[in-house]
This record gives sequence, structure tokens and C-alpha cells, in this order.
Amino acid sequence: MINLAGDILHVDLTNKKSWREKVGKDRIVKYLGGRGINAELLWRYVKPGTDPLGPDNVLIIGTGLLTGTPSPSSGRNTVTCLGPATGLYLKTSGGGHWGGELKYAGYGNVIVHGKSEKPVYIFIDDDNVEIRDASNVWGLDVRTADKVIKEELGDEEIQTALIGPAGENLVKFASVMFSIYNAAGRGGAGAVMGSKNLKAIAVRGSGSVSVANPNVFYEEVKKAKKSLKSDSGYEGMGLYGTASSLFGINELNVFPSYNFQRSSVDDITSLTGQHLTNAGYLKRRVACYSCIINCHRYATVDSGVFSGTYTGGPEYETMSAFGSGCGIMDVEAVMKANELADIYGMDTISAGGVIQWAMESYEKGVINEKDLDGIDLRWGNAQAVVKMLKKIAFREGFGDVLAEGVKGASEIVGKDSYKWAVQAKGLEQSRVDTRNAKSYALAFAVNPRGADHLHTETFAEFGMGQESRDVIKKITGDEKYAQPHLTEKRAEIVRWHEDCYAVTDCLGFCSFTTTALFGITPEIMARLFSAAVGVEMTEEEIMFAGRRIMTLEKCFNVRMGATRKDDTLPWRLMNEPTPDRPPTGNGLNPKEELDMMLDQYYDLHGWDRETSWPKREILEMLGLHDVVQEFEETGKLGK
Amino acid sequence: MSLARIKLVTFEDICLTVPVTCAYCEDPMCEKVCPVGAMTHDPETGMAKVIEELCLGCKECVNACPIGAIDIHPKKKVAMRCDLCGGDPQCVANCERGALKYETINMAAKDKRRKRILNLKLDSESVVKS
Repeated sequence: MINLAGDILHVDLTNKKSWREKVGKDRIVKYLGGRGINAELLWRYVKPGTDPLGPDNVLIIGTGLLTGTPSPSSGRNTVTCLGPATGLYLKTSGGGHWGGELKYAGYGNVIVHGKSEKPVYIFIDDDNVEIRDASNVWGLDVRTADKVIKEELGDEEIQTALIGPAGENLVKFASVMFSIYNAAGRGGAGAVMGSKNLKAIAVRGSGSVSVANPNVFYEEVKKAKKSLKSDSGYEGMGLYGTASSLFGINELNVFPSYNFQRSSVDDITSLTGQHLTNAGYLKRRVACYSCIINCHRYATVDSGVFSGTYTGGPEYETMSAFGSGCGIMDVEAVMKANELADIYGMDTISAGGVIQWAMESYEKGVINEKDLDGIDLRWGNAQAVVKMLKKIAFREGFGDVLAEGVKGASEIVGKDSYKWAVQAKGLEQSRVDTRNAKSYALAFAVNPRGADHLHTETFAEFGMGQESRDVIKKITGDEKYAQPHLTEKRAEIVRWHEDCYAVTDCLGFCSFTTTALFGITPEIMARLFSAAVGVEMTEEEIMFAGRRIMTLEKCFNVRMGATRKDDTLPWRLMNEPTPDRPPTGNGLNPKEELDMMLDQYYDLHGWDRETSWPKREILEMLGLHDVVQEFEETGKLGK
Repeated sequence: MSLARIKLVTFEDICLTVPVTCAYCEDPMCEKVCPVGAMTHDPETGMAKVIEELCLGCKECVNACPIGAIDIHPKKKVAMRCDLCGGDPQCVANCERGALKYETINMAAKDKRRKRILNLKLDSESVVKS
């Protein structure tokens, strides 16, 4: 087929060899590309009983089908593997410029098998693939390692996907960093890379990407750009970044503080994107490959105790993870923590999550200053956070406990600490208080990778802006359902977002364009796909493909042993009502309420209510025949 | 469709990216050093041109260019120099933020003067106020 999708590059680190696998048009129509092909590869290679940090796990990085074309904001990469935080399916996504370079080298997906004896990195230079000695970069932070690799290879235009010390030390929430500051952070894919003794995948490509119907495609690209720019949130997202929404989010009582003891802060101003820009911290707006929004930040601290800090970000999630969640309202401290998380290569959400769990454990006397090697980890102590981050990345002292994530750490520390370990399936919850947002609650519970927003992003339920309300109306028939405290129609809202999000990821679009801003609609994605691939695909058909991919990911979890009991929320959110709640809401995710929404959701999907396993007819309808065959043998078809 | 001639110099750790493209020198070194006359320009429009059939791939032009705007095509192994896309540069057409402009140098200078004077005016106002 036209060189749009690129080949799959297999690299076997155990046997030091690599090979290419062609991707035919039928496969693209079925699995769309990027995340979809990744899901199919994971299903092919990872069987039950695999150790996430053992040589039998695979690390797959797929870039979007449209990455490398001028399609706007579509340069995202999806990293897929068996996740070390959950023992289940993991896909985690990052931006930057690595994906475009991979396409120019002729590949759409890279899958790494096995484990190297010694530290190595992979260098992809068009057709030449080398496994190179990494002994001089092992141990280096992300920023330095990127520089050294480029110097060694003598080409500053190389793009790297790499890990920092956290990945090398198998921290359960280590990230894979693209173009230094763009993290595929959630779930610990960086630790999988570290377990393979793989420091980096460096890429240089000199080819180009072509589409089936160039004239139609470029017309569609123009329309897509126009639509994206006309979204009411477009300007604000570029000017103030993802943290531009904090005023509204805080007002809605969904911005967690003090480890989810509260759902807002009294004055959010200092953490907002508006403040970051207007107070002069923001030095540059930064774009990922082909992006016209430029929400990514480059910010520096120029005076005070954290003077000299420079970093990409901080983003919305980080403002809560290292800010309000830890009782810190000083944005300079958040920027310092963000810088450290990035250069050590750790997810800011989970790193912040374990630290605030430790802060609460310290406050409640479950751990003391002696356990913490003398660090006074009280709420709001920024210097303590900075010290703790380093200990986690290098697994020193109590950092070794926290490096296991809140689930593992609370099992080690014991007592009642599980009650404030805000995680589900083993993943620290991302920074939305689901007690006041019921679509998010359902979405977080059913997300195959654990409690977070990046399988759905049901932002539309807040009804902020006409576009949000229009999306909810399109899904449910009435915009009155754009109200986060309602429990009706949440199953429909979540399932639509699952489909849409899968298509978004597969094509390489940034989810901000489809489910936070709404300028890129499923219809636009279908038209771009049709022109690029040369196969007509309607909105319904492409959303159906999205559901196929999402269902395959769910089936991977079923294969690994997941059942309905895994589709749950953190203990605190189900048992402790938040003091910050609107008069119309219950400020809680009680079990009965979640169960009711789960029943509706499974029914809508055609999955078995008792086990959550998909039924035969639904799998056959989606064309997942391999899955049916296996589940027939293992007795895992839904009844 | 051709490969882009515009180059980006990136300093990734400080998120700084600066574009570099052919400066359209009045007396281009690349044309002077070309041993076969492949590096040339249209005398009427002034637009640069590489006669690929003549180009030896000797890379003299790459070395001669004072700003590093010339590259060798990775597959064809001939020199690549900005030809302004025949008068409608696509880098400018696709620059969403308007960072790239295609205009006469005199117009660019006027813009720059105007911008600077506006700033001066604001400064003097603030001086007056204080």
C-alpha cells in the first residue's frame, strides 16, 4: 500500500536481530493504525502468566496513521505493553516529534521483544537498524542522555524516545519521554523499557509519506484546520495551555486537593495557566508535530529558591499532582517538581499521587520522620517533595517503597493506608474528582489501564461551551444531560467517548482536538482516513472500528484474568463524601450508584453483567474471531 | 510535491526552534562555486533553480553557503535549494501562527521599524506618567 501507514519494525534484543512486517490495507481498515495495530500486536505476543518486567513482555510504540502528513495536531505516539502498575493492558500516549521522524524512516510501529544483557539503545536510520551499546548513557537523566546520543551519532536532528533513571530503576510509574519533555507517563511503560535494558529508541528518517488521494486529502486538511480553529476553546488552549481550564474546573469541584480529601482549593489563581503566562514564567508556547494549537509550555523560574528551573510544562494534571494535591499553591515549586519528574522520567500524576499518599500517612502517624529518612513530609512542604522525588527515582530509602506506586506502597505500610491510596487496578487516579463527575466515574472504573481519563476524556459532560453541549446532545438526544452530577445516560456518553478516543489515538490526533476541544469530529476523521487510505469510511464505520480496538483491549484484560470486580474506583471516592460539592450532587461514588452505571454500560456493550466479559455475538460482530476461538477454549466468553 | 527546503534548528532542552532558509543572496556563493552551472536562477523572476541533470553532487555549494541553507537530497544526491515553490512558498502558506512571511525586504524593514517605534512610544509614555 501507499507508504502512509509504514511497516512494523520488530527488534529482538535477546537475539540481537530486527525484521520488518508489512501492513496491508485490510489491516488498516480493521485496526486503523497506531494504537489499533499496537493492540493487535499485544494480543498476538503477550500471554497469561507473563511478568510485566520480564523478557516476555513486549514494548510497542506506534505512531498515528496520519502522523507525517500535514493533518493538524496528529503527531501522537501510543506506547503499549503489559503494564507493570496493573498487570493488565497499558496504552500510554505522548506527543513531540518522534512519530513524524519514525514515519519518514518508513515505519509506523516498533515492537521490542526480549531483553538485552547489557544496556543498549536502538538507532533507526531509514533501512538501517542498529542495536548500540548504551553504557555511556545509562544512568543519565533524560535531558543529558538525549544530548549525548545526538552527539555520539553526529546528528542533532535525530529524535529520541528514552527513559531516565526512574525507568532504569524499574519505578512502577516511569515514563517514556519523547523529544525530552513529552511524556508517555501513565502506567510505567518506562519501567518495561528499563527491564529490557533499553535506554532509548533514536530515529532519523529521510523519506516522505504519501496519501492515496492527495488533492482530496489536502482539501480535507484545510477544512479540519478551519474547524479546529473555530472551536471556542482553541485560542485559550494555545494562550494558557491545558491549565487554562482550572478556574472552571475548580469551580465545578472536580479539582482534587490534599490527596482527594477535598475537591477544590479556596483560591486557584496561582496554579492556573493564565497566571503561568501573565506572571512571566511562560517563555515559549511549544508545538508537537504538525500541531496548530501549541498548548505545550516552556517555562522557567528566574528568581527565588527554585531559580534556574526550566521545564516543559507544567500541565493541568501536574498542577494538581504536585500542587493542590500536596497542599502546594506555589507554582514555582510545581515547576521544580515537574522538571525533576521529566528529567528522571517519571509520570507526574503518579509521582504526585504517591507523595500525597505519603503526606497523609505521615499526618496520620502511619509512617514517621524516621521512616522517611528525616524528611518532614507535611502538607505544603515543597522542599520535602523535591527531596522525595529524587529518592523515588533512585529507589533510595522510603523512595523504594513509593516507587511501587500507592497500591504496592499501601500493602507494604499496611494499617488503614489503603483507604487513602487513591488508585484503581493499581493506577493512581488522574486529577479529576469523580465524586462530582459521574461520566468520569464510570469511565475511570471501566478503563482497561486503570483509574484515569485517557481512554475517554468525557469533558463534554461539564457542558462548558456550546460545543460540549452539542456533543452530549448528539450522543443522548438532549443537551440537558450535559450535567456532571446526573447518572442517567452515562453509559452512552462513556461508550461514545471510548470509540471516539480510539479513533483519535489510532490516527495520531491529540485527544485535545476531539474530546477537550471538539473541532476534529469523528466525521472529519472519517473523511481524512478515506482520502488518505483510499477506502471510503463513514463516521459510523470508523467509530465501529474504534469499538473493535477498544473491545480487543478489554479482551486482553479478560485474558489476563480481569473480571467485573476490577472495574471499580478508589476506596476513598466510594466511601468518603467530599466536603466540596454542589447542592445537586451527592459528592460520592457509592457502590450502588457505580453498580447501576456498570450494569447499563455492560448491557450497552453486550458484555456479561456478572463477569464483564464480552459475549460471543458481539465479538463476532466486531470480527474478533481469534478472540472468540481462544475464549471458547478458556471458557471466558460472556454468558 | 517536493521535500521541504526550510530547515529548523532546534535546541530541544530549551524548546527553542529557529527556521533557516535560503537568504537569496544578491551575489550567491553557491552559484559561483558550482563547477557545472547547475546552481543557477531564473534571470527574469530571480527564483533559484538547481538543474538536477547537471548536478554532480560535489557538495561545493553546501560548503560555500554561509548560512547552511543548502542540503543534499537524501535519495537523489543532488543539491537542494529553496525555489520559493514558484512564487507561492508552501512553508508560509502552511504557517498557522504567521511566524513566516513572504514579502519584499523593504516591506519587512518597514514592519520592523513600525514595531520598534510603537514600543518606543509606549516607553516614553510610561516615562511621562512616572
